[in-house]
Amino acid sequence: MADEKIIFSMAGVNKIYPPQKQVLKNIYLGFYYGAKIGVLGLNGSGKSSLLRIIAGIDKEFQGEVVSDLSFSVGLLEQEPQLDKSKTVREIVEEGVKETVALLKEFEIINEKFGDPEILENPDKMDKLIARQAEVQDKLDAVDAWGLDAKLDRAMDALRCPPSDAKIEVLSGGEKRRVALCRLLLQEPDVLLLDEPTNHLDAESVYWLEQHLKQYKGTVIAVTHDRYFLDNVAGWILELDRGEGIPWKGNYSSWLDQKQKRLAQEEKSESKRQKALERELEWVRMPSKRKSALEQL
Amino acid sequence: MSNYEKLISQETREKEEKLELFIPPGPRLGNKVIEATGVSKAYGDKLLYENLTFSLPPAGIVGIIGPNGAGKTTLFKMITGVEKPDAGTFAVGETVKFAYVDQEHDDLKPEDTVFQAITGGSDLLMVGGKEINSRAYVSKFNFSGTDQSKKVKELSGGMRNRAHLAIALKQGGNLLLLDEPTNDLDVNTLRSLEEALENFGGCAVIISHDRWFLDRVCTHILAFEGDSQVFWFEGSFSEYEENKRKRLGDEQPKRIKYKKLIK
Repeated sequence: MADEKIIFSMAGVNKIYPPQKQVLKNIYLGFYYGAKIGVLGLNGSGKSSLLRIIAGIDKEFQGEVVSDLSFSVGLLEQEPQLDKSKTVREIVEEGVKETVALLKEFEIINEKFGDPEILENPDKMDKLIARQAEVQDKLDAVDAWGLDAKLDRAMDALRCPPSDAKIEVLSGGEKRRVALCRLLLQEPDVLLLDEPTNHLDAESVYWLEQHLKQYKGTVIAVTHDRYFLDNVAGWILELDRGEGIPWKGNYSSWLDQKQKRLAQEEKSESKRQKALERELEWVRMPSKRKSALEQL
Repeated sequence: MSNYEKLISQETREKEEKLELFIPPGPRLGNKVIEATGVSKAYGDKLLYENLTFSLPPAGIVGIIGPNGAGKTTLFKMITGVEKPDAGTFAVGETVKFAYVDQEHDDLKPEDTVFQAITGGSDLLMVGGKEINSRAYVSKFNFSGTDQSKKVKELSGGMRNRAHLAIALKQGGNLLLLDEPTNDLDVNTLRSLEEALENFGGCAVIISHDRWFLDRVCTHILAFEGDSQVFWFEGSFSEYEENKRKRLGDEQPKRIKYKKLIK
């Protein structure tokens, strides 16, 4: 597509943890706006490092990154740090803080209409009416009147703890769900997710899958959830000993090419290759599973 | 009979040679594995489930799904006899030998290395009546050479889970209990675990949210659906999902609710 726009690119990026543990090796990659990318690799293959570099959190690397600064970036980390003194609801509201601030201003404006000082001063009154219209337009534009219901729906879907629970009493998994909820409400142009499905149950994973499928921006997710990789990802990025190997296609098509590549590389049939073959066989089975999925 | 045993061991050996990961079948399992009849269980003032009835057949692999806090772990505790039901009967067959690691009270020693914790320190392991190389077994759970010499106290949560899995799979039980085994595995290890389970001769009860994994290995689903209701389903996870949509409509997930326990 001619109008595909690269919003972030990396050229010759290396990441070395001192003294000499190289986790990323000579990475050349460009990311399209709106692309859905699944990142695969063994533990320690540099997946989290890659996300942190794209997020702009890690600046200690060699090589070059070029990003379009007009795009916003958001990252879900494996162990997100949240303000312990806040409640679940307060953290989730941070994801929509502009809207929350506007709603607050709207409330204050409405109170001022009862203020005698303003009632008796036509000048101030006109200004207030103009500001009210301005704020109302903005609120209409972001559909702010349904905000409460929207927040409740999001918190329900990710099974967040009760809204008034304090962050300090939450388990690691609960904190992650709250952080994910805030991030999805923020709707950054580039959504970076490190193992988003851990600590979710199967139904919430399905909900997240549907949500990300129609997400406007770019999604880069480190995950081993293969339905997610099959149903959402348009690209698979495999990290192998620090090197990045992109593949245009979903998980099944990636398996297919990987199996062929392995077959070429090793003339003798390895157990790994056989296992890939059997998983592919399973994928291709015209099973009830498939027909059930197609009806969704 | 001895011919039969020979045939079994022959088949077992052939399977083992084809697979990357192999789970020994354990002793022969009788017809009764787990039978729950009218079970109710509360936690504090929350009723986790009421009138839960199911029977796990030999060779059944059950996927347990549902939100956190719905009582999945308590079910494990009832299977191992740590917890008793408040009402109803929960019976485990006499031939059942568990293979599992209690994640809350594992006996991993903080000063042991990963290698020692999993293998006891010997170079060869007896798995299913056959000697295998210990280092090779541990590396199948994605522990590199340097990882294997790390001390237990230095492990991340994910590595600890993998160590638990490695310990559970070699125990030689005929009823495998696994709590979120897929969380910290890469797709290669996942694939070999699935193959090992597909070829496993015993039963398994597995808490998981990985739909691909569930679809590939499970014969039954036990779903915690909220409001203290638990649904027993014979079939794969996707079939369960379809069934649920027909029963309850196409709802988005909700936060978990319990019935209050009224005494």
